[in-house]
Amino acid sequence: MKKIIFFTFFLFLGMYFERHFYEVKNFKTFDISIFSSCLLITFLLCKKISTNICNLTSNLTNKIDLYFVIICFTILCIPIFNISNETKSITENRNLAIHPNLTTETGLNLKFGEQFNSWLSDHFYLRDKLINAAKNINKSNRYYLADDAYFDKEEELFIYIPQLYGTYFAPEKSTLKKIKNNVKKLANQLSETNTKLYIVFAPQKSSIYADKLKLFRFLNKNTVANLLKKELDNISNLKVLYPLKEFKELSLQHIDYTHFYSDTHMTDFGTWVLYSDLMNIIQKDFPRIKITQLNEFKYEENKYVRSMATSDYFLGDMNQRTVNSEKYLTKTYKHYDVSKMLNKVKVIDDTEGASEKIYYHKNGSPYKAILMGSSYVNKFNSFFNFDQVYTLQLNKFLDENRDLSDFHNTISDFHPNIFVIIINEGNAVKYLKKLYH
Amino acid sequence: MLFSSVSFLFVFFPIVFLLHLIVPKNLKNYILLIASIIFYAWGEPRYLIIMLLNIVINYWGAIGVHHYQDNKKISKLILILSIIGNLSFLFYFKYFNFIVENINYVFHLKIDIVKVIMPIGISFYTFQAMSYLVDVYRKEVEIQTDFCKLALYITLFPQLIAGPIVKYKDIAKQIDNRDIQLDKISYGMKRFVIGLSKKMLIANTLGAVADKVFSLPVHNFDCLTAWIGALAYSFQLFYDFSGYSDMAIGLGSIFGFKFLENFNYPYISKSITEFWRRWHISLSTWFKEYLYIPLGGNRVSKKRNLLNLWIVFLATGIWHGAEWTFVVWGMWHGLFIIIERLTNFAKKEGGKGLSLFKHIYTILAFVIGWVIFRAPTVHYAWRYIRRMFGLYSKEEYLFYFSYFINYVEIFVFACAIICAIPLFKNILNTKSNISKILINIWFICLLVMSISSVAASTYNPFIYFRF
Repeated sequence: MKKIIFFTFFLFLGMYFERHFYEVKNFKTFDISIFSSCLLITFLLCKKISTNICNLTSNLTNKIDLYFVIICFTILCIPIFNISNETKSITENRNLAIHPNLTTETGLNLKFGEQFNSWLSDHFYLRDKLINAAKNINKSNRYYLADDAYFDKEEELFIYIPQLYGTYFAPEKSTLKKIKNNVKKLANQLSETNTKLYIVFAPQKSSIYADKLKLFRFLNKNTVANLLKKELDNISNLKVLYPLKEFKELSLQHIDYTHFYSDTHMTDFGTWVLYSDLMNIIQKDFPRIKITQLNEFKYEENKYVRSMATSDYFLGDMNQRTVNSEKYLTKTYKHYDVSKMLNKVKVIDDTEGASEKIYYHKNGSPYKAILMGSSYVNKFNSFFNFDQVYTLQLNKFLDENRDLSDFHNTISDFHPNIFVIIINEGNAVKYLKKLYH
Repeated sequence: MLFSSVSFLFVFFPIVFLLHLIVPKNLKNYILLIASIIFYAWGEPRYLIIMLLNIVINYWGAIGVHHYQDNKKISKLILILSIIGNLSFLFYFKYFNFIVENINYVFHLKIDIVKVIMPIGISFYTFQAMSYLVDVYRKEVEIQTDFCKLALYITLFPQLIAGPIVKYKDIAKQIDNRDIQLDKISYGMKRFVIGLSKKMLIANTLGAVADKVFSLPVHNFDCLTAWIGALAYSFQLFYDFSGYSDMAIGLGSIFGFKFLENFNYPYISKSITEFWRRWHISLSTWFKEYLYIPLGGNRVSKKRNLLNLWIVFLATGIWHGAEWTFVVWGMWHGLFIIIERLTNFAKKEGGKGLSLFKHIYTILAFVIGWVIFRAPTVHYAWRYIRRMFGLYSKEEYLFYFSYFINYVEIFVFACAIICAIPLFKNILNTKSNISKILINIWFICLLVMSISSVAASTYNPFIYFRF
């Protein structure tokens, strides 16, 4: 009787996999050889397993153990019963790992194990449901703390913790000295071609809403950006902007959100405030420049996040870290059609995450500018209406262990009138100290 | 491959179990050997050659030792050469750079560091293999002439990468002939689930708490937080390591082996001497049998005996890693062992007061020890310990206490404390059917929760693509 049960079970199991294989490979016809193999393997498995199970259970006095073992192994096998064929994860905003080959053109694939693990981790059955269940538990708390993020439902704050460190942890004196030397080197180099240097420390939510961060206490209220500004202010051919006070006031006036609630970045409004502050400073050196006003644009309102005027909307970093669901989008933002100012964009390097482009603006001020910085550059460049704006994403080339000297020729050839570095304050130390190795 | 990885849980383990179940008895060892080699080669196949060389050295070394057993000198020479062969791999991969760095520091030299990644489990399988060699020399075990069986002993995947360090004499008979019964498989499965839960539900949760504290400069947290960090790490280490041992013992049982226990509620010890009888038992037994006793053990003068003890603990520290923190940690424990030996502290009996004092003393000693063990540098450990006792004055707190630990983590902390006490020691030996059913249901729930936790750990969003 046991043998019949086992036979039936394994035959169905074999046929299930055969069907699965059939669908995956898109075979036009029923493959008799696969079916025969299934049948043969089923027979062998069934014969051996049933004999062995009979031997195993020969001394068995209680069937509870048997059921326990069967249930446990069934649970362990469930995740591979229906491997997903998806190639992209929307919730994770990335391509899923592909199934690796055991051999490559150069021979045996020594990374097979690692790659197989990545593939299986991305494709096993019920993965999304299990992940969402775990994330929902976290999301139900008032506070959510991931490895690198924090959000407080009550205070409506989402903060990226490494940037919080960067905002408040004062660097060592040697680091400050290194930063000062780096900036001085760039300022001197630019002064030779009569290019003006400006550094903008973009205020972040961690300093604007410092009083609302209930899990944190700030004995040292002075932010690192303030310290840096003080340190760099006396360098010639350089002007430093850090409008924290203004952003704090704006947060109290509730005109519009300066930062996305579900992201760490600035909204169009916040970016424009920062832009107009910078332009007021630049105007002192270049009186002919025109400052774009927000009312020159139309806007649309929605709850999504957008990195730049030409890109798609998405749910924001907070949702990607927790549960990627629209129900957690609780705020509405104004998105301005700033892209209408763009004439064309010339891509110099646009490998994943990199951004080295030249933006040509319609009716832009008659100057050339280089805009370099962290991800804040992406939104800022839409407003930055000069004839030509060369953008460099600082974090990208620093991560590749390059530094600014690698762009010496680029800068000389472009011959800019204005050089702007814009960094969110939490990353200021991290990036400026690596400007030159 | 790790026991808590999706590849192991969902593919490797079910397949190997099924194959091991269906093949005839004479093929079971081959299945396990092939599985063990795949298991080891999964992450870094290049280092498979090191392990195979290790097996060859020990196979031929043991044959040589056995062949010349009547000629002590040659036999000893072969033994020494084989041990040097074993240790040379360990030395090169684990300690070479550490020594070079220190030579560079002391003599202001610039000798290049070798770019090597330490083969996973090398400390475990080297010690395991050496025990076989020494036992053959001591004529405590029969020589194993079957290369595959010796290879299986050294590579056996359940205990390959994190122990327990199984001595050949303990499983020699099981390699030749072992019984596979359903009750053993069921027991093994339960031990595996216990181990997986310890790792995924307790160790990883408390590990996150410890990581948050230890990632900060000491002046950024207060005294209470320092204690939370130290205790969280103490529990993380215990549940991580004992969880891995439970999984190894459980897998061993599923495949018909019986490994000796590696942990026996070490945190209820009343002295550091007792702690080492309960903590990583296979390692302390190994050092006792293959280092302490050859050094003379306690059959020497008192001074020499104390020195022997200190050497053993220094070696224990160095075995754990090539960092000064491990050396200091080993010396720290050696110091307490010597003090206890001198004062006969471990054997002192008394009322509840003394018992409580002994508990508190032991907890303080090993928790401080774990701080040294976890700290990135000895200097950091020193400042951390001073912060724990309020002796470090510089303060620049950024985080409130609640940043470091939330309600879930407090609950897990409570569970960790309860499970570190032998309240449920006999849970697997219950006879009543109702209890058995309830316990099995509980284990299934634990398995599901642990798998969910493994699944959640595969969530890997790409955050900054759009900006």
